[in-house]
Amino acid sequence: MFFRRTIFNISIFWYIGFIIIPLCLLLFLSFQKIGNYGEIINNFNLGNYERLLQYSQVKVFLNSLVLSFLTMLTCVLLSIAISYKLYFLRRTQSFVLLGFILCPFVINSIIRYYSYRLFISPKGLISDWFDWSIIPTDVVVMMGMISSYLPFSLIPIFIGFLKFDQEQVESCFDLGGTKLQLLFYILLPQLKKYLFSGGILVFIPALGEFVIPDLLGGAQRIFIGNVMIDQFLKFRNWPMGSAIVFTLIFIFLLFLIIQIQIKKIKIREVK
Amino acid sequence: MKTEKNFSIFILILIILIYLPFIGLFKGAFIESTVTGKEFVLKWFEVLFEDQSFVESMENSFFVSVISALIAVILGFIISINLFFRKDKFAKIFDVLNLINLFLPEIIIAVFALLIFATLKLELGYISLITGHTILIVSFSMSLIQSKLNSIPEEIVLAAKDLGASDWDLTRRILWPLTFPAIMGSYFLCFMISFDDFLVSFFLSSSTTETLPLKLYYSMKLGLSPKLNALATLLFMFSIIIYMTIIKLRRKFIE
Repeated sequence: MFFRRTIFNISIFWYIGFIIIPLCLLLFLSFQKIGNYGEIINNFNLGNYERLLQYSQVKVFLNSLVLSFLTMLTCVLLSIAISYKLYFLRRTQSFVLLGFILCPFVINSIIRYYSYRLFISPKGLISDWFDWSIIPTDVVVMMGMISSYLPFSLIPIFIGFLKFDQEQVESCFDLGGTKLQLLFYILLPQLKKYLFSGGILVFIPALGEFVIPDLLGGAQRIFIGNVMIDQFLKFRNWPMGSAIVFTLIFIFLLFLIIQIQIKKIKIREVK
Repeated sequence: MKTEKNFSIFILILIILIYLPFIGLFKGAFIESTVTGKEFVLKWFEVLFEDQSFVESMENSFFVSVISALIAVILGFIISINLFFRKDKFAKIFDVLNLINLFLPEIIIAVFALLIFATLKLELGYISLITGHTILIVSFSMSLIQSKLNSIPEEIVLAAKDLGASDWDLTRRILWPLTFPAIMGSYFLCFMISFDDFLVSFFLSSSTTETLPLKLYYSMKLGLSPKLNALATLLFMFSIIIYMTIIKLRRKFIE
């Protein structure tokens, strides 16, 4: 019994100390105000959240939401296309191809952005033949986002395709369906939950992204990540930063609840 | 037939697009254009290793990643053993907390660790870096170990209990050896995630404890140079080797 109690205490200490207490601190800080000399003044007010509702801040949130939504959409569509192609190959072949597609994603993210930036710079590999300046920075940022978030949606969606009931596919072909009909009428409607979880896995981290817009876009358009880092590290306005973080966490929890709800439905269907 | 072909071309273009930037990277590191033509040089690697600040940041990165992956694996093992023994309402709460930990983006975890250190009025340095990285990776190691623990056949555990094993004996003699491959795998994975991490280090490092991605980021802000190409090439090779090891390990233990 002593052993059980020890491991229980250790794990509860970890979660309380490093997840729950910081969360509470964050909530507490977000209702404070900052003084003239950067000190935190202890009086309860909603000023930070009111400031978040101003037009400029709402625009930042909208920027981020649009960027992550577009990233999610493209990633999911690309993943569907890739896994649909891989689905009809032999197993070993499809795994080798998947490995080829996923291989660059295992290396350090900063190196990846570095090589992308080198690629689009005037010294890049194809810059002699192709003028990169005609492509707007927003598109470059989007390309960076897609290329770094593709695995998050590709892996769940590919697993969904792999798990799919083979008999249904055969009966579709027996009844004279084409491959595209198979995709739109049979595969996609039944793989909805995999598409959804793949999308969420892209959407949530993309919302807090800071490095890609900063390095590839030259920080021309401001996203939540940039604002957060500025508030915490540059202006030292921690209460304001906490308010932003808390709003983000609120959005994440919303998605988490949706995800759990979907899982529950899935379990019920199985039962 | 036509759509089939289109899809093949699409995949081919995708793979080429994914790999082209890296070819540019290698080209920049190894090949230098001189008056007489293009030459294969290794000089940029020498320049890289002569720069003390890069070597220092490399050492920092290794130190932080090795230690934090070790802590994360031990903690992950303890938490998952706890969940293995405990199947009541606490377990559900732990599951939700772990899910939250897994889902939160890096930037929020970095803020968490920063807040802890600010409240305790501790200075930023190695300890803060290791703490931040551990918070980031512990949920990964935990989910890997937990899925391995759940796949252990019930009969083995029941047989051990019948033969009078205490919880400690069960853990040491049966659960630990059976989950060892998963623990090794998760150690390497944690090491890699921690080694790759940028945002947590960005928040938590002091000026003397810069990690390699941070150093790369700051140098990149100043401009692109063949020296950075050399560094990036080295790191690229390193990542590929580590992931090959993970795959080899998994295959060996599965077979």
